[in-house]
Amino acid sequence: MNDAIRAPRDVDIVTFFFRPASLADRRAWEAAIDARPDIFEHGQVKTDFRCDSYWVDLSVPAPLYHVDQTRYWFGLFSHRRATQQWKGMLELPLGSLAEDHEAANLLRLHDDPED
Amino acid sequence: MTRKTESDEIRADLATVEVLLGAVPEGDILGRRSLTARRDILTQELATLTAHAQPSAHAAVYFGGAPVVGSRGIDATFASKALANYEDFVTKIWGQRQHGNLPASGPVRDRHEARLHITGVVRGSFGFELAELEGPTSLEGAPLRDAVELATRAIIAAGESDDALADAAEDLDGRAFAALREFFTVLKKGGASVRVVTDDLDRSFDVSAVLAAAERTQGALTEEEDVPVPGEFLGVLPERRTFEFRRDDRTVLRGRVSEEMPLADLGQLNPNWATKRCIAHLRVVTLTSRTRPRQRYILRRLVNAPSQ
Repeated sequence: MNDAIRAPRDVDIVTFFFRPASLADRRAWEAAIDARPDIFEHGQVKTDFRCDSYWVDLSVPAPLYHVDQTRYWFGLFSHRRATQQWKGMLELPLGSLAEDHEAANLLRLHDDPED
Repeated sequence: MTRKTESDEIRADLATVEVLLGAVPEGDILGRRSLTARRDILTQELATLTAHAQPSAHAAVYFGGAPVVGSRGIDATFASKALANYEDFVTKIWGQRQHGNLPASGPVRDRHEARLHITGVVRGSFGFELAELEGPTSLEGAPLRDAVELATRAIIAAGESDDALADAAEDLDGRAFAALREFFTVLKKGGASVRVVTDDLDRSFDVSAVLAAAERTQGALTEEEDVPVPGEFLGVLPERRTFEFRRDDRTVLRGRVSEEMPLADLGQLNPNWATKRCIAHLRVVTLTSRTRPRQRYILRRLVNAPSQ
């Protein structure tokens, strides 16, 4: 089927983030990551949510490295490999917990409009 | 997208990821994991691509030069003529391999079985991707894919040298060669450069190389199907399928053994015929170009010389 009209098989996500101050320490950060494979483990996220998820940690003090990373992920997801056609990207700011609840309610409504 | 183009792009992507991985700062745990995941995906894609050879035909033809306006467009008249001639060349080779040498004129039998579709347009220079969408129609291999490979080798040979073209012309009959000539004539008239890509080949020729190729293909290709030559059989290299044969005038002919000779018979050539007087039945292909005629000899069979 034509790529332009078929539904996507997965969603690619690149999250640019600053670590919370409480996780500035390397050991604490590593423990936090390992505690949530449902969020941070690429294979599990792919299986559970059909998302290819990648992360750019802006707390790492290496601006040129961030430029290279951004350039790579942007280049990768802005074009189709087969045709070199432009692809669109959505930028979603990470919201508050209240907004997450609101979004979850919307999704539930969408899943079951009878509710 | 041809397998070669796709694998080149995956390899380039992989190389970039490896460089990024090499530059991950201490402490960027998620950055390293992200890039490692990406590297694993690309490695898997490359392995899958290599494991699944495509039996159907794929090719890409890119044009540059006068008919192309940046990456915005290509002269429609030129593009339609050039693509039609490319497709015609492939079809002629396909027909020749399926049904033997083509008659001097008339349609190619069953040419609907050799249908290529345009499956993509690539910008940069301006390229067209072509593929066989209906799959191989023969149980014995992939004839259209083979024809695309042969056509591409002949186009590359024409761009390289007179000798390379003479080698490639061994596999072409008169009508296929005329189609090759027509392809380059259209490119020459259009002032175009060309790049041809298949699953295994990738070559570019600038405008001056296209002019040289057009000149080379102006030569005449003649073919004698069965020329008996008396002399002494010197031997064969069975893996390369090449032979040497000394004529009665002491000159040595070199060439390849025809594919019509089974491997078992090929293996018996040295024990049965080496250094014996005999008659070689040869197919002789002559390419007469600007400079001098170039002949290629294809050994069809050996027979005993009549006793004197």
